[in-house]
Amino acid sequence: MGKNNDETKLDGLIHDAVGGESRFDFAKWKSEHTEEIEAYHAMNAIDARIRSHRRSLKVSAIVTAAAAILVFAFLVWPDIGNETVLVKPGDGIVASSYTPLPAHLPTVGRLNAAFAEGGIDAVEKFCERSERKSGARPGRLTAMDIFIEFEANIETKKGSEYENQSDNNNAYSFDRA
Amino acid sequence: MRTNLTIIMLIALTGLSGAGVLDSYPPENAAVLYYKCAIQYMPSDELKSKISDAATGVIEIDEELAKEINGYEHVIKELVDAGGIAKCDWGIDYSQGIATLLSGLSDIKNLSKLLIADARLLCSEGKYAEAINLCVAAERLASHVSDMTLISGLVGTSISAMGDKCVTHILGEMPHEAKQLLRVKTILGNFENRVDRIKVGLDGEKLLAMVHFDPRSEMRMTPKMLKEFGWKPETDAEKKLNKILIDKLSRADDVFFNELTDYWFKMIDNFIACYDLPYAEAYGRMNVEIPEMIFNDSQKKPEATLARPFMPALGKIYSLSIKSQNSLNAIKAAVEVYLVKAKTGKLPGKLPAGCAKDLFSGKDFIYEKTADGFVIRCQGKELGDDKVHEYEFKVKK
Amino acid sequence: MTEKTEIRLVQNAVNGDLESFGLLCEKYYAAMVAIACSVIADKHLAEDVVQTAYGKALVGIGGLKDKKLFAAWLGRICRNAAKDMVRSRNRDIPTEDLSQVKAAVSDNETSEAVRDAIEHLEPVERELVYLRYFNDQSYEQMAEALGISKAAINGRLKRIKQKIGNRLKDFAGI
Repeated sequence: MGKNNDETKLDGLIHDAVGGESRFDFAKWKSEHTEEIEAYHAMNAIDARIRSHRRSLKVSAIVTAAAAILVFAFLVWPDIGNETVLVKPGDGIVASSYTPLPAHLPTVGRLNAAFAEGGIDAVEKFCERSERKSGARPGRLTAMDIFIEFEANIETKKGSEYENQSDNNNAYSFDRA
Repeated sequence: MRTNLTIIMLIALTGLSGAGVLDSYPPENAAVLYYKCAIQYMPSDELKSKISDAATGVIEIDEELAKEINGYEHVIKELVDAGGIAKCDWGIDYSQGIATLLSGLSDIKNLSKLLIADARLLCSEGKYAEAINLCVAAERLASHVSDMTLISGLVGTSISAMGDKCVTHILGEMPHEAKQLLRVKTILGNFENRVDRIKVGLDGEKLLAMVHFDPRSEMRMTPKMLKEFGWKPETDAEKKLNKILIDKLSRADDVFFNELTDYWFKMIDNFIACYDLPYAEAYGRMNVEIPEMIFNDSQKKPEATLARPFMPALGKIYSLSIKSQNSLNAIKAAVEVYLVKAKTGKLPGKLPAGCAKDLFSGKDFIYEKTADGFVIRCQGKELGDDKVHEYEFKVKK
Repeated sequence: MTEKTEIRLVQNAVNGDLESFGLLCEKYYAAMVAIACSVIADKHLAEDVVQTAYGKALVGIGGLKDKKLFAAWLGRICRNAAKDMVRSRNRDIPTEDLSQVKAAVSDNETSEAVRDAIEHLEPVERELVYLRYFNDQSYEQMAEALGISKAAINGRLKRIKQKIGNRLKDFAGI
């Protein structure tokens, strides 16, 4: 009996200490979360498989913008940019346009392989090698340096467009029609 | 050129700014600050190496190095600010699947070393609370870098390991006052579970593989891509299956790609399910049973054959994630010990009740006083290395 | 709401029916606030966290594979959102005393001692206490939100209450 009383008393004490009440106002929530609701409806409008894939890959408007910028930067960067040529053969299947990046660059697959081989140390070594191979950092870098180099990259790209395409074709002739 | 990465980052920053992210400081997305820090942090190779040694405690920080580290105060401040931001979206386009380039990992690791080196410097100056704050920023960086891939989760884990050593060092140096220790306890209690980081990465592997397992994707798996990923049939059964495999891949066989996706998902789910098991059992399943099952399947089913070259070293990764969380658990237990010392003036005779557990055994850690302080030892072995881990904690006389 | 109805609502929400999502949110609101409260120790902040977490859940609901696990999944999102909030607040608030927040709303020494005892529980235990006492959730409701059996909840709560009781005795010097 005493034990039960103690327990009831303790219940009351805990309730007094942390008790509260909350009600959810869905209409208000909707008015405050229009962005999420728009994203939700937009996602529901596309095919379920693509939808789940895209959502999981966290493709938000900002990420898409950043990704587009990165892809653009890759294209004007002769060191690593690889041309993606979309070819649609007669049977309706889009031909694979995968072309491997230069071997020293750290892709997910290569880093996974490095880990399997030598653990996290091997991953770090791969990254360091990649950094060294891509060129040492200058001790100081001004915004002007960056833009001068950026301009130079565009010029280089323009000048060697045909040459690069030809190289790519020789090196990576993956399923191109 | 190395500056090419800088250019990309700058353009990304400009683009993100255009998207309205940089309207206020700090921005909503921590990655914006991290990218900015990477641009600003450009030490020479020599300095980078010194900072790395200082961060790992290999060298003492002399006056000259202290001056260099202090020169990056603005970067460190922004790294701390970035750590306080909940959201971190690196803007990486994962549509290239496992061929996605992760060129920023090296920069992030370097930034974490700068943070930890400065934490050690502050500790040597007696600024213990500030030093702990930098370790928190490093842990947040570790958490933020652990995006959706296993490999980024592993880089996060390695940053956490460096942070743990630094926290252990600070705990040994600081005066053991209850107020400060309670603060450290609260901070450590709010660190995310590091095993969960890796579980997220496992889910990410599913999605990365899907890019290549979609017959309608321009990045779909082809025979040549398979070769690029290092696949070579070895047994007679594999050689026989290889022909079927090449045929199905060349034709972008819809049914086969669906079977492949299903098989891959099932295997990754099998691995994820192991995370709910006790360590020894999970280790056995991940390192022996499941790989054996995949190998046996791969001698009969082409979809299993193809899953093999894609499968990361999941057993190894599991052990590393448990080791990382266990190290944090040991530090949490040590803080409880230090707290007793703060309250009573001496180290306790046994480990206080309710301490975090040793994940290798599922039991309490073993606690032992030593001449320099105390050790917290695991009761269970790490099976991969066949090693019983122990963590030393110092007490200043 | 029966389990079948709930699964149908989750399926509808996955298929784009926002009102079904709203009904689910209403049903679990108190439980979710309790979960967030167990992490952040402040009711108003916990409510903000849950509102934000619902936004994340809405955008991510298509990724929910097992419709039966909706409540547990939603709980995980709220828990993580609350942890994120704590982390971001750690920057500004001296973390040595998150219980300051609670102290500010308390003028009762016993309540303060109870809260202190709850603060010393393991996070999982604290969550259970908040779920039970924050909004008087039944064992059944708690079982749904946590994805564990009623018997397990009963057993765990008993042990937790014992812990709280012991700490209160220490406090009172008994």
